[in-house]
Amino acid sequence: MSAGRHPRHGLDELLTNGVRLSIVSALSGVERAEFALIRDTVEITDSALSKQVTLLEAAGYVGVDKGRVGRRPRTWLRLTTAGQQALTRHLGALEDIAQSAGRLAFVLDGHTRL
Amino acid sequence: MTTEQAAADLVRARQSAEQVRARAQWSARYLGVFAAGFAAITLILGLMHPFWLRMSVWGAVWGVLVVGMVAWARSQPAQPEGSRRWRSAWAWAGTGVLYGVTLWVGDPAQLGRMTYWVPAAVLVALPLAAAAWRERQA
Repeated sequence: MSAGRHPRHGLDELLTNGVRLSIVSALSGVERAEFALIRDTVEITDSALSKQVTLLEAAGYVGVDKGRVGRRPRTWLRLTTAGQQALTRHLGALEDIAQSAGRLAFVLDGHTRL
Repeated sequence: MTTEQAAADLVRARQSAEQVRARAQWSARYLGVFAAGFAAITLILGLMHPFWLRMSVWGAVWGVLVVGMVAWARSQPAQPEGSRRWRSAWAWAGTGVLYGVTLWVGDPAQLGRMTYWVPAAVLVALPLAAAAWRERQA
């Protein structure tokens, strides 16, 4: 079988981890979001999120900006263009995999009725 | 990866995106407050006198409005996409132009006349109010 024919070849290895996929997806609809908001959305600890963000930042998928609002220090996370492209590809592959089940069920259903 | 896993991942991804996007939808309130603020400063400029009181109150209201709203926007945990912010540019331009025209026509010829300044204040606020309504529906 040649590489790239099965939809699983479109999956991004880094995003096959559910937590990392949630982080990147959460950032996909906004320009940037606070670290704390992503932590609460994904429901993980600060340290777990830091670890995953470090991996995503090293891959060039997520950017990290530090600043202050008034006297409070803030950390902002944003999805990079490379991250957006990787997410789009990954979600496309997931959809293909999910739909292939539907097609298979349809074929099998038709087969049993014949 | 199984088809069930793929479907579950898709659902999780959609939920995360929607949850955070919802926290970035504060711009309706932001636009609405500025619409009310523009109406207020239009009324202040047209109806308040003497001159020194008018300019003092106008400056104070405008200053509090801008500083307060910029600080509030910066404190929001998620910022909307750039393209989304530009969607209301027409409303800012519309309110700005109407505000300028209202003052140009009404000052000093219509100063103190409620029949001019109240409809003018509503008109000035209209573009930003419409943008706020549109953002709320989005």
